[in-house]
Amino acid sequence: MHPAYGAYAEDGKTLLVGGLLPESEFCARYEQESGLSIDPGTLHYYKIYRGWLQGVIALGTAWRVAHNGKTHQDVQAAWIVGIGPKLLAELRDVLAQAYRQGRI
Amino acid sequence: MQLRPDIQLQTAIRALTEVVAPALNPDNGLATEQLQLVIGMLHLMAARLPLQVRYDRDELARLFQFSQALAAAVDHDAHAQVIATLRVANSAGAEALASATIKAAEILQAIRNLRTHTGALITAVYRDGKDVERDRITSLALAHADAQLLRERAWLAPMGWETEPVAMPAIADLLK
Repeated sequence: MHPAYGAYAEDGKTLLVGGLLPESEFCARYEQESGLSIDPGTLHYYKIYRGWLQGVIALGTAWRVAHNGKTHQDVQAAWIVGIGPKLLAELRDVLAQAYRQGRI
Repeated sequence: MQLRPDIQLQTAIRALTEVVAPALNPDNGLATEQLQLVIGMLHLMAARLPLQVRYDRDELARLFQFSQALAAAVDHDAHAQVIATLRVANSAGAEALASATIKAAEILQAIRNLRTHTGALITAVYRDGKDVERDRITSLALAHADAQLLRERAWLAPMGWETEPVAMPAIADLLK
């Protein structure tokens, strides 16, 4: 569901989860097909956790791998660092939403 | 000096693109992929090198303002030690911004010091502070992150990670 891994629909405004469906429709279809319900609060928590985790992986782990010459693909690890600010911007937006709602 | 980084990067990119890349064995996927990434990195370096000092001074200026706002938003008696350390970093940042002769490495060091000590104050307030303090610093941190992350994304936009790259402002415009 991360916007970094999504794509915009032909209208240029609607973000599609994984390039498939808008988030609300994606969740509704998931509930329909799986028979499981999605708790919005839990989903929100995992969006924050995801942002933190992926930010650490991109800006910490990938940077260290490249900096310390730990693979035969260091230049690729360095390239991955470049997605870090986008991942953190998404985390910042999710936290701002929680702040506006008085949840943090 | 004639042999400056701009011509070094330009000639390296041309050699890799026009001579080395066509000579690669197309079956060697790893070499082909890594060469394309190296060329991409060099293009990004060539585009951003002239802006690097402006970028760092911009970040330092906003960190300086952020640290001042944070210090003003919390109870000084309750966080005396961490605020005292932050003020030292803040003064060094102010000197770096005012100096016409400072080295690029010293600007970067001032940025890292302010990042460390603003982070320490935020951690201390979240650990021991009052609700009203947490509320103030959360608002300040979100605003600071919004501005800084926009610049970082604009800086790295040529790497192709943005979902909507046309909506990203030019980094040179953000540094005005």
